[in-house]
Amino acid sequence: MPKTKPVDRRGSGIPGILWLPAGLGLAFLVLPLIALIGQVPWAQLGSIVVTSDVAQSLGLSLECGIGATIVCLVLGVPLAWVLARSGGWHPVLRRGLRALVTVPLVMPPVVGGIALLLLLGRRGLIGTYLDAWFHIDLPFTTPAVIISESFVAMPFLVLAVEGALRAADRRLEDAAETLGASRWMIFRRVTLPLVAPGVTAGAVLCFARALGEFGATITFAGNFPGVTRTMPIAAYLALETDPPAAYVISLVLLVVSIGVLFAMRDRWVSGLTS
Amino acid sequence: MSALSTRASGLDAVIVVERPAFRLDLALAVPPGTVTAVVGPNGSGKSTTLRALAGLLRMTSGHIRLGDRVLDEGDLHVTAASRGAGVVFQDYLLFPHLSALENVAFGLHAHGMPHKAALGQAREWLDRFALADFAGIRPGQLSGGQAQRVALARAMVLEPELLLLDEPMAALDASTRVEVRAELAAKLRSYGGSTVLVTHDPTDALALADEVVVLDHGSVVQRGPVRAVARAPVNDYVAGLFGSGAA
Repeated sequence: MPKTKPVDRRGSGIPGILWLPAGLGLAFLVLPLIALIGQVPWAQLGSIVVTSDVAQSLGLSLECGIGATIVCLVLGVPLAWVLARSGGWHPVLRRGLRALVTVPLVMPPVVGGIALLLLLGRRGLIGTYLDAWFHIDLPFTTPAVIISESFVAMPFLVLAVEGALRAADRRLEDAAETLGASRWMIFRRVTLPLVAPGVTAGAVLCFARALGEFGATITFAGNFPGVTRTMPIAAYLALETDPPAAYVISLVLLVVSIGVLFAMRDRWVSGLTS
Repeated sequence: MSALSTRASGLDAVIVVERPAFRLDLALAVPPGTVTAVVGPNGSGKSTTLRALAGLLRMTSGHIRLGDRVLDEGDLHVTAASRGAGVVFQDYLLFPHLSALENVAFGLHAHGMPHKAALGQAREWLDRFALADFAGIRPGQLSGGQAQRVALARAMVLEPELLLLDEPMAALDASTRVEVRAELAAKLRSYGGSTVLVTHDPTDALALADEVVVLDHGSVVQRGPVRAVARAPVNDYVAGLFGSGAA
């Protein structure tokens, strides 16, 4: 007997042989999280958060994550704007610019940290002058954490906003122009509100990436409790000295990530990123 | 020449736009209080004409004058933002994130009017266009006819001397078209400036315009009072256009 439900006649079309690796793949992604959740000392959760430096690193992480998100918004939205409107430029220039913006996305964060050190360190390309003229020494300070996180997270914001700008109807800008709006007013009152969902999505992704940043931060900003020891670094260190604290920090980071996924559900989980 | 010319009135334009494999060459004279329809198929140069008049496109040569203001001539080009032509775009292009009221107030804000005064004046125009109940509604929830009225109010609130309409009926479904067209005709009759209407549909020209210019591949095929053109088309192309549309 055929099935009574009006099922797609092609069925799922999944060859039987794929089920095993597919199931293993899923288990590979999910089991570590289950192992982590299983090890979290739920009973002492509160006391660990209060007594160890979990709270301190959490506070610092939030502060730096928010700082980095603001830096990325202030610099990244205009950059996305230029990228989205570079259609009239020479293709080599346009593609080169986009490639440059994408580099931090694919580059190992440690390399980013070293590069920042060589730029802003005391003997760095710019750091030399910052030190000589203003007595500013950035490495191993809280601002250095924000700089590292911004460096790594900015592409997320730029690409999200650029996508939104490309999708926005430019004829609305024509309409605003014929009504007498200046370019700045068009940006502020028309285009920015139109791409607001993209900016929000980009900012959330950017924040999530900043919060998890490890490699660039520990390289450029180091590991000073309360100054540069963010949650991922604290978790890594605690694993040797105080494993339960490491599990708790990991849980907090995991919860934040899931929160981001939840905030992005319409864009990512349903595959509507384009 | 200039010494002899009398003070111009209304729109006086010679629009020349050259592109690879395309040349638009169109003269328009639209006295205040009259409507000229530019009719032609897609690719005939209608949209280019409108964009040139609105200041959104720089012409290759020619001139655009409005009353005693020169908007385009030689190197002189008054930008779209400062020339103040009222434009009702195809699909209306209302700002989707602003309410109907804020859409109408947008141009007043852009011209520096304080917030409250702008909203007050926008509300008057919504009242005049029987849209008072829709002031707080976003464009997405308006019907086609309502959206057209908001778009017209948004363009006319600045009391432009030149009003440009780009396919004002194209976004409407057939059932509402007749009624909306009649409403629009009434509004255009009471408007004191020069109106240029661009459409592919001769019915719009018959209902809304005084003069018609039939455009094909960038050149004028025929021009004159709407009914005269409909009655005595110069060639099969114009005859076909009006024969099919003049129901």
